[in-house]
Amino acid sequence: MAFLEIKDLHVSVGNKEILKGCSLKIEEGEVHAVMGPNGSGKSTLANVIAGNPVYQVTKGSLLFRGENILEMTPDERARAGIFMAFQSPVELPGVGIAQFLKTALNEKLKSQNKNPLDAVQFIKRLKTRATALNISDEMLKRSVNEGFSGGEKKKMETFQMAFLEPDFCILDEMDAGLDIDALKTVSQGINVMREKTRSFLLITHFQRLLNYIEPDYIHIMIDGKIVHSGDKSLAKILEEKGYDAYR
Amino acid sequence: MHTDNILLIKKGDVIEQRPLSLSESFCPSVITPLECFLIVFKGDVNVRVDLKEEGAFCSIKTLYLASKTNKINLNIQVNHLASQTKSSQIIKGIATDKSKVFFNGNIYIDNKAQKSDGFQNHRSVLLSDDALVQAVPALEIYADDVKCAHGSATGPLDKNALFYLLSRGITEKMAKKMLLESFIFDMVPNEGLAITQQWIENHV
Ligand SMILES: Nc1ncnc2c1ncn2[C@@H]1O[C@H](COP(=O)(O)OP(=O)(O)OP(=O)(O)O)[C@@H](O)[C@H]1O
Ligand SMILES: [Mg+2]
Repeated sequence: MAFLEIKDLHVSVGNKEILKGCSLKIEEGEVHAVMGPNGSGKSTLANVIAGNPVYQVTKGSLLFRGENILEMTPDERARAGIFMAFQSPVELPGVGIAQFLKTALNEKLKSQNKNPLDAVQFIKRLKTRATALNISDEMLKRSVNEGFSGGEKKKMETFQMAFLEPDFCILDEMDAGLDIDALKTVSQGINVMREKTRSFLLITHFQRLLNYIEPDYIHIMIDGKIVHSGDKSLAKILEEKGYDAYR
Repeated sequence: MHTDNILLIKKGDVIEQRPLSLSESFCPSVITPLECFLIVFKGDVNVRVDLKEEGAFCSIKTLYLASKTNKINLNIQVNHLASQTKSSQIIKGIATDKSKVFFNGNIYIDNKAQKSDGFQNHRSVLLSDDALVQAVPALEIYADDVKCAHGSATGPLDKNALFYLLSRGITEKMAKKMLLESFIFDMVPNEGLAITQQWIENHV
């Protein structure tokens, strides 16, 4: 049984078909990268795995640990261990970061019949994860993403992931907008999470990220399909030659 | 559950609470400005404020919470009758089930009321397809040197915001509760918080 298995997935928004028979298999502990031109459907794939109801799956299957997750609501999928760091995270004015993460974690623990964290355990977990990603106390006091710069939002997404410790991490253009130091910090934060039981799907446009987080496989998505897969050397070829050879 | 309309009104340093009556009228002055907060669940509410003294000020915050087949007729009339008067109205609402809300907000600025400033903003969230909110803001301005702004927006909870919360494992009920509380949190005084949160809890 694969960790994640996507077979012949067709996805539409309204009458427009975006994914046109996308297949992808990820095993436990693997890091996969998806690269591809703007508008090829990478974020759509990420959103469909996370369960965004805007996208309608018209054909194909999506199995997570052998279970058909197309039947599951987004929150059920999240509690089952799926996490997506958004390409463009929304701002939630008035929803404090700590309250937000506490609620998210406690809902997950509850679904596993575990006790919620007490205040001290919670603060400790929040602080250690924040420090590792260079996130200040001042930032933790703010509302979720409200008024954060582009790069800060990306950092906060990674922080949420580090805090919630999901089993399957989807990172949609985590590197976009990060400065050189932040990219290193965030990559480090992701690398320390690499484990035998945790898998990653990185969406990116740049080889640079993949120098920091070395993927096991790279896939090229063109027009709603994975048209080519290879090992990490593929990123360098793409960097030099672009996508023309695969169109 | 409590469903009588409530008026919270600032008197000096304290906030007084009493039932809101069908018609309320106020005449604030410079030394006793009007600062009040209304929670409306149903029925007719008519509020009239006359700013007759130069430099007088009023702030009216209204929260309506409409459910079941309840109907709300909310009329707020602010009259700027002297110069340099200032008014601020913030109206927020949540409508669910088959409730109907009609809001008329009228700012009148007399020709004697130069350098006055009138502000009105209305925002509401619809939690069901059968709920209706109709807002008719009106400005009547007869002075030329004034500031006057109004805005109105009504719609369902933001889909992207809801999905974001769900994608973190938060249940739909809890997510809606969090979004609604964040929608109203900046306008509800402490004294009105418990009753508002209770209403949200019961209606998501
Ligand atoms: N909610 C939506 N409504 C309408 N069209 C959409 C929606 N989401 C995606 N699309 C369209 O589907 C196509 C794929 O979009 P998607 O965001 O998946 O691309 P992407 O590969 O992530 O691109 P980028 O590299 O620019 O982030 C685009 O043409 C986009 O306009
Ligand atoms: Mg994208």
